[in-house]
Amino acid sequence: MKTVSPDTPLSEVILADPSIIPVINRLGIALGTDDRSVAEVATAHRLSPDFLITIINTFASRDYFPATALSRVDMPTMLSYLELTDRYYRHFQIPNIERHFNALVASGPDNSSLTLLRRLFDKAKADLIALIDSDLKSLFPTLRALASGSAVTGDAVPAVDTAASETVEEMLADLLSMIVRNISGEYDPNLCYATVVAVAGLRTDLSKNNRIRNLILRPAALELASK
Amino acid sequence: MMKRQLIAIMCRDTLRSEGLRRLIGIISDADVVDASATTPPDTEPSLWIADIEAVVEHSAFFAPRRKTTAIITSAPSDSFLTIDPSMSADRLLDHLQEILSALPSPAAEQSALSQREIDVLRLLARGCINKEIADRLSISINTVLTHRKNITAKLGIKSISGLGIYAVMNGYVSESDI
Repeated sequence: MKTVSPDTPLSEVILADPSIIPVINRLGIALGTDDRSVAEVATAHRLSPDFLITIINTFASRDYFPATALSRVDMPTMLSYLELTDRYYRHFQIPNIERHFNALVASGPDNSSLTLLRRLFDKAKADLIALIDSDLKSLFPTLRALASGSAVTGDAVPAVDTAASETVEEMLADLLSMIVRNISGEYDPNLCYATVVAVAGLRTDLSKNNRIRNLILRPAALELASK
Repeated sequence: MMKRQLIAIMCRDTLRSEGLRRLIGIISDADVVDASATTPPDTEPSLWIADIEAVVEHSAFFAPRRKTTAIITSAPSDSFLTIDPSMSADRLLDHLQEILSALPSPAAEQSALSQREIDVLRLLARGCINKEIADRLSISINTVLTHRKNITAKLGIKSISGLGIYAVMNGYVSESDI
């Protein structure tokens, strides 16, 4: 997708890449955007247009590197967005996959391959929940305190760990590959399709969110820590 | 040149063994050899045909080969292919033809894991790190890394958790091992 500018209609962005919908939903922006530009929609939702444009571009375009936009993204807004993302994974996407997986496993009660695939998802889920807990309880509060100039207890500023998140993404990619290549026995193909779509949705979201953590959060956190 | 399929027969009954060899010769140009679990052919056969006694005696050998082993038995099996010896000759030919045509193509066989890669996969699934795998298999860490790279390329699976689940699904380790 070509790089989004402040004047680009948000509807055009969404139609070019519908996977952006969960991202704008997390920011409180619903569909029904009419022909309003990205900047107009951001202002209407009390968001910085620069912030919304940077998030969309980092999420949607593999070639976009937000070097110049970085200095314009303020840390509290960034952390609020990442908190919303974590909560969206925990309260919507993970339960959604579980619902589909439960139905899929129930469709082949004697099919051990379904149970094993479910076990791989459970491992990815446990690792993702641990990462979310670490973000919400430790990393984000510390970075928020640093950004506001408050003293941080403890000597070390926690590192923005992107490896753990990338491992979860890798497990979900493996899960998709194994469902497609190795599933056997009896199961409901429609439920299997729904499970694949749900897992692929989380994997894509995580992959793009990892870009935001790598390209925006990590350098911003390093800069804060060096001050 | 197109590689011919290799079929290994592990059967104590000479009459059955010879009968199978002749029937396979009618419907296929596959190479057929007699083999045992202790002295398997250098190249992994596309299909093992074994009597029930051999499969029971060498269950660990056949567990990872469930999809490519046909047991000579009249009892149905959920795990293995079966060949019912009481079938008529015509029906037996049709059934053998079905089994042979469902075997992986030579291209698919190229993407199958080698015995060494299976050894590495088993240890990875059990949680061994590269150094432990190298020590146990008496190979260098670089060789372990090469095997791991090949396993990932062949299976399309990168994570240790994913490889563990694959190993269970294919009978290389039991579920309690991972």
